[in-house]
Amino acid sequence: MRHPCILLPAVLVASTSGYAVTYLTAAQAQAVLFPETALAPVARSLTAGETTAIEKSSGVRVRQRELHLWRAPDGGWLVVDEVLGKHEFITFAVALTAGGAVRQIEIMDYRESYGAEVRNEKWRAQFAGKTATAPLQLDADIKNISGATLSCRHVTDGVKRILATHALVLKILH
Amino acid sequence: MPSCSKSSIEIRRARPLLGTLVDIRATAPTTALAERAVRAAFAALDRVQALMSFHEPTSNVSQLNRQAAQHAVCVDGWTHQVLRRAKKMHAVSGGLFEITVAAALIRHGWLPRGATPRAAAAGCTTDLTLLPGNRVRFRQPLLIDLGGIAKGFAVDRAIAALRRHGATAGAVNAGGDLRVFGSLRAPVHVRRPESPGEFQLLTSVQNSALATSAPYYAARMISGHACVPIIDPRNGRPSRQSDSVTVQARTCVLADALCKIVWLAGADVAAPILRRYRATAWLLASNRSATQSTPARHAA
Repeated sequence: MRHPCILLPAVLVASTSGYAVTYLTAAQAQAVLFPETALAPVARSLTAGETTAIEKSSGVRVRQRELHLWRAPDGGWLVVDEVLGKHEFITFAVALTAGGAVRQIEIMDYRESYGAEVRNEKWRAQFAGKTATAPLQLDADIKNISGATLSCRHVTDGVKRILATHALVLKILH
Repeated sequence: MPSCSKSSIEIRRARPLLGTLVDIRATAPTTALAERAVRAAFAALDRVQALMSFHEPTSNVSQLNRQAAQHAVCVDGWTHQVLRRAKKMHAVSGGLFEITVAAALIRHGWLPRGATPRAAAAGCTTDLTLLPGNRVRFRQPLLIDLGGIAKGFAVDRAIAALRRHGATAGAVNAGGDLRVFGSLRAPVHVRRPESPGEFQLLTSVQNSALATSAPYYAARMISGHACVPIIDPRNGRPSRQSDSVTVQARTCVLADALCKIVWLAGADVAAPILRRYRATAWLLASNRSATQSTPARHAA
């Protein structure tokens, strides 16, 4: 049998600087999280006071005052939000019960980038207000990565922010 | 995004679970079947997290850490299975594979102190006794963390769920632990340890599992050295190794355990163990110039 250990020479490096996957569009996320349910879009932006209260309650910064919200007939909510880390940009959808508990979380878009693009404010700025409708393909060929994805800590923070938004704003919306 | 071929649909989903983003792909004759298979796979992952997370106070792992030194604790069959695998890997590696590392991980800030009891530092995996009826007893106070091996097991269970629910091919990737099945032949890339935004094509796999341990993202500075949350049982300290190690094996639980052994023992010492499990390891050195001057020991 061949030697079971292989030391890889670095000359094989195929240099790329990004990785991106689109899992669900906004319409697909609605169908997956609320199957066979007619959701009503709700237009709502946070006031300066609400923004401060949510940040204080969740300990997470509010990057965007405009909420991406849909309401289910049973009082449940679909919230689409995004988080931006040092190297990653993740759009995700959260289904909340009428009582404000997390029922399910689905990642909609995962993009990571290193080097010049991520340091560039323009790279970050292109995501402002995006809701996964215009995915940016950084490298479509890389599908399977053995080795960590970036941590899910930012998504966890994003969910905290959504729960605070529910408790302080959505719960009392009519 | 769903993609169609003549008679099958592939869907791809991701959720935050097991402390990472878990990515699942499933191919089935219809979208509804693929969706159902993916839901079942996520349910299996949820179940492993509920049973084996160090962070969940109600998990089997937390129950064991609190009570198993006082009396035998009955655990789920899945937890018993993982513990049996852990004891086996501990034995075949001469003690290098070790699960009683939680105290050290807490000390260095990788795990929260929480409500866990203080444990004597002298114990090891041998002091964990598996009893009939899925019961477990610690012969002395221990703090276990199943970490990667539980994640590998979760990936295996998720693959089993995909198959059981009619998926004809699929892949489950849980941040470092990857398994594919069916007709899917998947090229696999790894991150360069010195530059994790760059990917290197490692191999291509079919009906196989891979696990990677690497310093990026997990490393933190301790006493002026970048350390990773893999405790070396020979000195009780976090490892300072900075290369990336990938192991391919039959199952993900095996790949993950073997990966930790190669990480700590080095490729030469681990070679007989790898052969025993028909596994292959790849090492990527973090110092690129040093790697370039080192000829490949064996071509892939």
